[in-house]
Amino acid sequence: MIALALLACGGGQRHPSVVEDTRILGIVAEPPEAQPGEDVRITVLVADPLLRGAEVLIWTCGLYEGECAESVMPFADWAIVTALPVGPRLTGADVLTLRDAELVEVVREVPEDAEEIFAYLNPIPVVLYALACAPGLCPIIDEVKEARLLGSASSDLKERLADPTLWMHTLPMAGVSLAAQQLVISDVAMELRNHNPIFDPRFSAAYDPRLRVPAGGELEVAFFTDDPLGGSVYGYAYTTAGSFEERRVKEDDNGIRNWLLAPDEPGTGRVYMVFEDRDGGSAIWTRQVEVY
Amino acid sequence: MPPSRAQETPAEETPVSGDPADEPQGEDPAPEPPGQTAFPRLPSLEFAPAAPYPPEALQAGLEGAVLLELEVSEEGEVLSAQIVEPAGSGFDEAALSAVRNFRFSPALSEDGEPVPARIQYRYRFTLEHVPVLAIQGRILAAGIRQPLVGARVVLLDAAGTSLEALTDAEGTFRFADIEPGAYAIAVRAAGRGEEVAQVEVSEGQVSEVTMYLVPDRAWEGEDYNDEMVIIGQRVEPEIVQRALDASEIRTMPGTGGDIVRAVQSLPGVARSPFNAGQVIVRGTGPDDSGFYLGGTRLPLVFHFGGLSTVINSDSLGEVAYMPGNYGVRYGRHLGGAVELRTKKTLPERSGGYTSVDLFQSAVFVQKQLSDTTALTLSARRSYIDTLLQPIINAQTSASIQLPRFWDIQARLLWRDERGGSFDTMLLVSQDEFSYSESSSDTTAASEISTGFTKAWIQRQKVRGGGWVTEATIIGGPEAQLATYESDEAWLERTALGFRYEVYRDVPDEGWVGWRMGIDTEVSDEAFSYAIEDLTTYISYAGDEEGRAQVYNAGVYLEQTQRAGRVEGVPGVRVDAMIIGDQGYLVAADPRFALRIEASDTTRLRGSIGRYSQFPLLRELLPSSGGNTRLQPEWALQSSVGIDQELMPGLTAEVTLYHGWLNDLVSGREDRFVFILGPPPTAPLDFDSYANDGTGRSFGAESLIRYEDPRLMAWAGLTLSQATRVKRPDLERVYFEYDQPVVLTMVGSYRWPRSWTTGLRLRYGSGNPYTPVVNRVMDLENHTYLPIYDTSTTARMPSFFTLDARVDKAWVYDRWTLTAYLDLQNATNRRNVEMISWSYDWADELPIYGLPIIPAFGLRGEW
Repeated sequence: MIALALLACGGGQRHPSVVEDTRILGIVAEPPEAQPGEDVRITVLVADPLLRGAEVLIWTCGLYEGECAESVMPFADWAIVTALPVGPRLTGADVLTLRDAELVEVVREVPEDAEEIFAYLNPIPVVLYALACAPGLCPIIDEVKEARLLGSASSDLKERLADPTLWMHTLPMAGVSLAAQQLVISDVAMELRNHNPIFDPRFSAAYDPRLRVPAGGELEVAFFTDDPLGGSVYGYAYTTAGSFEERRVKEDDNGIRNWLLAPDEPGTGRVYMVFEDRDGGSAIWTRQVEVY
Repeated sequence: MPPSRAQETPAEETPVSGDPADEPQGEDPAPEPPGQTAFPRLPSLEFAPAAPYPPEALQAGLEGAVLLELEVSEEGEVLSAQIVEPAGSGFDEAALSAVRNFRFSPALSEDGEPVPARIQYRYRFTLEHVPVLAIQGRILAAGIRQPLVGARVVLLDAAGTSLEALTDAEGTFRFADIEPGAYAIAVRAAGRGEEVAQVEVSEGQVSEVTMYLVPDRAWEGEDYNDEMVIIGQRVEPEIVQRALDASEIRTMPGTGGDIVRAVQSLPGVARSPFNAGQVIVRGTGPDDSGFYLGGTRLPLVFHFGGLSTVINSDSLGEVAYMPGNYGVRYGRHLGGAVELRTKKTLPERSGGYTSVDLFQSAVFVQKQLSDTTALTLSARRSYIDTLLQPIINAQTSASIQLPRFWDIQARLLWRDERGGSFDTMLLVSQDEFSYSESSSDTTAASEISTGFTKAWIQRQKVRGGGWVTEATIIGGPEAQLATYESDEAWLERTALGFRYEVYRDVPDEGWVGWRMGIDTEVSDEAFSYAIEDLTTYISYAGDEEGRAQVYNAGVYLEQTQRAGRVEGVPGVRVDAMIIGDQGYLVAADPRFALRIEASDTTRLRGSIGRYSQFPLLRELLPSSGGNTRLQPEWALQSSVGIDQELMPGLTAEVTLYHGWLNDLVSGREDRFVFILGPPPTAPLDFDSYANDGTGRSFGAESLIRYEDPRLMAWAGLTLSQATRVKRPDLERVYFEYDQPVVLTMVGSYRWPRSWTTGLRLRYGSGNPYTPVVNRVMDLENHTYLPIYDTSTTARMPSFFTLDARVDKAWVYDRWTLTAYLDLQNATNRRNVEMISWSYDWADELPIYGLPIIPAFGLRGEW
C-alpha cells in the first residue's frame, strides 16, 4: 500500500532539470580547500529565466559540524561577504580572503572592503551560502547592505545569517533561491588538498557560444571530466529551453553524456552544467541555446 | 420389522429391561407417581425400542439397573427423563437414550381424559439377553465435523414402520436386534436440515453409518474461534467492554476478516495513515501505546499495512483493546494498550484451514495430542508484493518491494484437571518494505523492516478459594530498521520479560477481589540514527547512537470492592527503570475505577488514574545527545460514561474522557521525527531534550449497536481534540495525530443459503501537518531541503470510504468452502493519506490511499 501511494506521487511532477524561476544552480569556490590567508574566489551560477533581475548575497560561517547555530561557541564566526548585483542570467562572483586571525577578533567584525575573514580550526568544513532574490523580496539583503555601510552588524543579524531557517520561512518561494556549498579550510599540503573538477566539452558544438537545436529535437551535450583526487564526477544539467533527459549523470568511460530535449516552439534559452565531485569541488558551464 | 415386534412383545425386545411392557410403572411393586394423586389408569408402555448394551460394560461383563423418572405427556410421549438412581459404566446414557424413544398409552383421569403423568421406571441391563448390534452411526455437523448431541434418528423399513433413537454425547446412535434387509435412516436435529441415507443390514454384521447435517439457517455457522472477542475500554475487572464474536469479524466489510481492522473500527481509535498497523488513541502517539501477549510486552501486534495481527487470530481467545483508564496490570505507557490473549480451551477436534486472498495466504492446523494437550501450527505470508510487482515495475522506473510479511507460530497447550494451563508458543514475525529509484538521476531509496522472534511460556494455576496464579516468560530478539536515502535509523533489542500475577475475582457471594503482581523486563538495547541530509547545511546535531542494558521492574496491587450495585476498583502500580550504571527512574501510578449498575439496563462508570512512561533510551543517553536528568512523562487520565440498553439487542454507550499530559519530553525535532513519523506540527523544537512539554486531549466517544441473529450493525462516533505545548514559552499547537471527528458505521446481514452481505462507512478528519514554506538547495547533491513553517498548521482533507463485502459458504460433509468479495473503497474515492512535495518543495503532492480494490478470497476449513 505504501508503494502504491508512492506511485501516486510519482506522476505529474516537473522535471528537475527545468529551470522556471530564479534559481542558484551552483557555487564554485576556487580553491575548494583553502589555507588561512589564501584568496578564495567564489562564483555563483544564477539562472533568471523570468528576467526578474536578482541580487545575490553570499556569506559563510566557519564552524564545526553541528555547531553553526551555537553562536556562543568560541570559534564561531560570522562572515558577511557581499551583496552583488548580477545580470539577468549571468553569474555573480566575489573574492574572499582568508586571514590567519585571532578568532575573537574576527567574530565581531564586518569588513568594509567586501572581503571577509574566516575563522578556522584545521580542517574545518564551512558552509557557503548564497541567496538570490528578485529585487525587493529579501529584506535581509538590505539589512546586510546597511550593516556594511555602518561597519558593523547587529548580533541579531549575525544570528539570523547563521541559521537561514530563522527567516527563510518569511520569504516567498517565487523569485527567491537559497543554496549551500561546502568549503574546507585546511592547512594540509597543497598536493593533498581537493581541487575542483576539470571538464572539457566532448564535441565541438559545445565550444560554440550559441548552441542550436531544432524544435522538438535533441542535442547531445557531452563532456570529458577529471577529478584531481580520482573520484567520480557528477554532471547536473539544467535548462530554460525544454528539459534534459537526465538531470544527473555520473561520469563513466564515455565521460558525461546527456541530451537536451528541445521544446516544440522556437525560441532562445540557456543550458547549464554543474560538475560536482561531492567533496566540495565543483565547476560550472553555461551556454545560450537557440531553438529553431 | 423391529418396531412392530417391539410393540407386540416389548419384553422380548427389551429383555434386559425391567419388563417395560408389563410394568410400565417400573420395578415391582409399581410406584405411584411421586407427589401426585393416583390416576385411575397410569401410562402403559406401548413402544420400547431396545437399548444397545454399553460396549464397555459388555466387555467387562457388567450388569446394571437404572432408575429413571419419566414425564409422560397426555399424548403418551416422554417429555423428559431424569436419572434417579444411576448405575454408571455407560448404563445411564444408554437407558436415557432408550426411554426417550418410549411411547405410552397416556394416563387417564377420573373422567377418562388423557392427562400428563410422572412415573418412575427401572431399566435393567442383563447379560442374559444382549441385543445384537446391527447399525451404528454418528451424526456430525457438516463442515466442522463436530458431533451433534440429541439428534433424532429414525430407522424406516420398506413397509414404512419406524424405530427411533437419539444421538449421545459423541453423536453416536445404535440400533440392535434388527432383521437383515434394506433400511432408510432419516436424521433431524434442531436448527439443521434433514438428511436421509440408505443402509443395508446383513446377518452377523454391524453396518456403520456417518451422516453430516448442514445448518438450515445461514446465520448459524460454525467457526474455530467463535468465542474470540474484542474487548474495548477494558478495566480489570471489566468496567466497560465491547465485544465482537468471530463470525462478526470474519464477515465485516473492509476488514479482510482480521481483528486488527475490526479494532480500528471501534470508537476512540484515530485512523492511521494507509490503514497501517498503528494504534492511535485518545490524543497519544503510536509509541505511547503498549502491545502485550498474555501480559508480557510484544514489540508490535500488527503487520505493515494493517493487514493482520502478528499472531493468527485463530490462536487467540480474545483481543483486549483498551484506549485508556485501564487497570494496574498494564503500565509504562501514556496511551492505550492492546493485549492478545491466547485461547485456553482445547480444540474440540483436530482440523484446520487454508485461506487465499489478494493479500495473503495462511495455513492453520490444530491437532489434539491427548485429552489434555493440543498442538497448533500456523504460517502466513503476504504476497501482494509478488502479485503486483510486475505491474508496478512496468509503470515506474523505481524498484519497489511492496510490503511483505510472514509469520509463524507453533503452540503447545496443556490443560490440567483444575482448569489451569501450561501454554507455550514460539513466534516469528517479519515485515519488509523497500523502495529505490533505478534512475541515475537520483539516489532516492527507502527501506523499512521490522521483525522479532519470541519464545513465550505461560503457566496458569487455579488455586483454592478462587485464586489464580499466572506466571509468564517471554524472551527473544527484535529489530527495526528504517532508511531513507542516506538516512538510517535502526534499533536492536534482546529482551527477557517475566510477569507473575495472582488474582481472585469477586466471588458470587463475596465483595472483595484482588489482583497483584510483578512485571519485569531486562533488555540489551542498541540503536543508531544517522540522518545526514538534515544536518549538512541546516544547523542540526550530529548522528546519534548508543547501547545500554535496561532493567524495568514494576509491582502492582488492585482491589475490587463490590457493595450491592456499586463496584470500586482502587489500585496502584510502581515502576522503576534502571539504565546500566547511569541511574534509575521511578514512577508511582495510583488508579481508581467505579461502576454502578443503576438498573438492569443502565450502567454508569467512571475512572481516573495516573499513567507514566519512561523516556526513550536515545533521549537519556549522553552518547546520543540525551539528557540524563529526564524524568518519566505522565498522564492523568479520567473518563465517565454510561451504558444503556435501549431495547433487546439495541445498546448505546457514551464516554467522555480527558487526558492531561505532563513532563513530556520535548526537543530535537530535527532528528528523528522526520524519518520515524509524520513531521511534527509547527513550530519545530530544535533545542535539547527536556521535560518541558505538556499536552491535553479530551473528547466524547459514543457507540450505538444493534444485534439480532441476522443483523449486526453499529455506529461509533468520536469527537476529540489533542494539543501540545512543546515548551512553556511556546503556544499550544495541534498534536500531529489530532483527528477531531471519526465516524464509523458497520452493518452486516445474514441471508438464507449461507449468504452474508455487509457495508462499512468510515469518515475521519484529516491529520494536521506543517506546510513547507521555502527550501535550501544542497549543492553537494543538488537536492532541495525543506524549510517548514514556524507558526501555521494545515490540515489534510477529510477521509471517507465505503467498503462492501459479500460472503457465500458451501458446507460439505467434511469441510466448508467460503468465498468472499471484499470491495474496499467501493466509491473509489481518492483519500489523501499523506502530503508529499515536489522535488523542489514548491508544490504539495497529495499521496492517495488505495483505489477501489475488489479483494476476492477463498477459505477451506476442515
